[in-house]
Amino acid sequence: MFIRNGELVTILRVKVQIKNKLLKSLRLRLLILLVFMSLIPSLLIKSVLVEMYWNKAISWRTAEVQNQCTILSNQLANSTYLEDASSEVLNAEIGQLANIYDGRVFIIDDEFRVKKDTFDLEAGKTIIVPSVLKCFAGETAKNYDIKDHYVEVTTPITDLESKEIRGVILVSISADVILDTVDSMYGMADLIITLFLLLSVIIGAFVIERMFQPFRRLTKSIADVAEGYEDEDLSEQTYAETEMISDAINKMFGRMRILDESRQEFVSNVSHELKTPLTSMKVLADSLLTQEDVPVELYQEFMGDIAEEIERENKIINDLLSLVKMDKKAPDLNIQPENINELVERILKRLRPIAATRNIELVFESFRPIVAEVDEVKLSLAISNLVENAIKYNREEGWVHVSLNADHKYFFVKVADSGIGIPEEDVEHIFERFYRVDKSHSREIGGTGLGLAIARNAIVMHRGAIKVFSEEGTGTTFTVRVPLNYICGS
Amino acid sequence: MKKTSYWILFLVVTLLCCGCSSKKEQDNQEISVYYLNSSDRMLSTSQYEVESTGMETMVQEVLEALQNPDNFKKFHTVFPNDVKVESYEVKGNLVRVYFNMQYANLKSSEEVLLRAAVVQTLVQVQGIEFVSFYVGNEALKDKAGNTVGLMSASDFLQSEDLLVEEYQEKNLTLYFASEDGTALVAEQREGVRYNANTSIEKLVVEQLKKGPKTAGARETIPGKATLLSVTTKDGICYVNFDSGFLAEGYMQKPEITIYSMVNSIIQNCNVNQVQILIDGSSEVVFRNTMDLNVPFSMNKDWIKEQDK
Repeated sequence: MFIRNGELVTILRVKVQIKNKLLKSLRLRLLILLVFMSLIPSLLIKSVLVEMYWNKAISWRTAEVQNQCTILSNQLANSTYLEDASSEVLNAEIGQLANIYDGRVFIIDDEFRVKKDTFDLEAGKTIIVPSVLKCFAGETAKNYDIKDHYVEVTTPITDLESKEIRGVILVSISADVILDTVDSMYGMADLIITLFLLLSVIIGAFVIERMFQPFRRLTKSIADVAEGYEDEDLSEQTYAETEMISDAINKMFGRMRILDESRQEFVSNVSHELKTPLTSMKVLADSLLTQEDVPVELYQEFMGDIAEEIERENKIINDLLSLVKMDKKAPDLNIQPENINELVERILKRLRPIAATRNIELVFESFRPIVAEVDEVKLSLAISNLVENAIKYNREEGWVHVSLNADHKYFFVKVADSGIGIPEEDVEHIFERFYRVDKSHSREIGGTGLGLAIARNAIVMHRGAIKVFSEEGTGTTFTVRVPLNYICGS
Repeated sequence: MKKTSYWILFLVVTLLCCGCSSKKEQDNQEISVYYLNSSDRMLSTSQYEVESTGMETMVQEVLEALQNPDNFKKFHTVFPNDVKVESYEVKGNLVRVYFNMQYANLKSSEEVLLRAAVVQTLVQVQGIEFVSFYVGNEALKDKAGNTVGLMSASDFLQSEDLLVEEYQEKNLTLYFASEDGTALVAEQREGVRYNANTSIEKLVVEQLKKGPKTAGARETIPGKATLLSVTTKDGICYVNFDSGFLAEGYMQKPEITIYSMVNSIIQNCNVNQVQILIDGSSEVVFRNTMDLNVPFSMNKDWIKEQDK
């Protein structure tokens, strides 16, 4: 029972999801839009045109009848018909008018008596109808009765000489013929609109389906890449939109690939770097073990070397740790106002002995006293790494210039040296972890290959920037720019 | 709370209505008095309750009401300023109304409105059927010098709006097919309402097309047929159908269909013969047996005697 219920719930949920998906479908919405776009104008055109025809036809019909009435009224005015309505010629003419327009004709004299009624029902009666009264007052009327679809027209019979109104012709004609035409027009229009709608739905569905194929292909290739079947770049050039999407996705993939590669490289670098001291130690230890009767001096020398290697290993691990610490997203910076002049002085004081061993001149130049909000430990690490590098990769009897300056927002530390310089093609890589410009020299110079990476991380953490200008054989200049006030934020 | 107040309101309204209706219990005659409409100077009516009884006093009261409308804003009297009723005389079902000499000076449109209003109002008084007008002591004459004479309501063709909105009634005798389709059966229709603009001939054909109302009768005109026109000339009625009239599959004899129409039209209208046209042409043989190129006269042989 439980299982069945569970299944039911699952089925229901699937159904709801399908429904939602269908409603959310862009294709369906486009189709609906298409239907409305084709339906609304055609309905509008239908009603406007038919209404226009209806009005036109009524007014034409009325004008025609009025024209006939005017001719008839002149004939009547010239005759004695209003006194004696027995003229056969005129009666025939009046009957003809009634027959042609499927209507009824009244001839009314100036005492409002019906002289002639083509239906022969009302002759002799006195007629009191607003349109006739108005006609005698000089106002011809064209009335259209919407309910019964009749048109009523009055025309005065004016005496040609005295210009007096001697009588009135009242004609009412049926508009049934026009109504039938209008009805059939509506029917035809409805049929055409229905066909049109059907056609537009079918063609629209087909065209929309075709138009969405590139998107479907794109989705499929993205899914393939996501599943790991394919590793190629996406290329859907059909529309500007799909091109944009595939470009954006390609960029994302590219970045992911680079990240992946750099991670692999980092791991291999780390293992390599960690392995080198161990290999040395192993060689030293092995050579001591394989020889017999090793003199104590040799022992001491080898053990000293081993200790050195351990020290190196230790240093690499320390550097790695500090780098990893700085790689963290939310670093625990200990920001305090510091006197940068003093900070740089302290670093230089510590490094001066190393410089002295190679006879390198270390000069500090400060333009003004600077106090800035920084994490003292991390900034010191960055600057000391830069200066250390400047000393290490220098020639004998060279120089290192450290200068300190500031404007209202930033302070600048410039470390220039007269060293070996960096080849142009390597400049962009020097801040990468374990990157070595000259692999062969790295060993004798020492260092872990992490110094510049650490320096850069430390500066970036302060929301500063680090730049390098270098000329091979002449020297290198690192410029560091750090804001005076620490800016919090993401 | 709200509901109760609605109920109280409802009760009060009901009571008020009862009060109104009980007031009207008196047996007074209601008359539509004709006045001139203030807006367009056309005839229109206003309900008036006659208080007096007795024909003569009622005529007196109605004549006064005609000259003094209740609702001054909406209506004017049909009497121009200087025209007055000098006296009147009730004789059987006839009222003689004597006007002063100013009546002769009226414009014909004013005169016609006044005449129509007075006649149509007075004949509503119970017992009155005719009205005649006198100017001074002479009977009213028209321009040609003929006496106008007695006037009744049927002498006026009056409408407040378009003439075509007026409906008339007529009794018709229509012939439909019998159940087996071999004879015609008559059906009497009383008070068939029709528009003043429809000819009786057309009315008859339209009614035939709608089919019979009595049991045991069958319609004779095919449902697909469309009536194009009905015209009458020189005593011949031309009935014009479209080709739907020739539709096959009818069990009736062709004569039944034709004579149902011919007999019905000749019976009810002032025509002698009927010619049937298909799309305006008479060169048609109806169901391979009846040639339609000549007009048909009444043929009573097909009519089945009804047992009464």
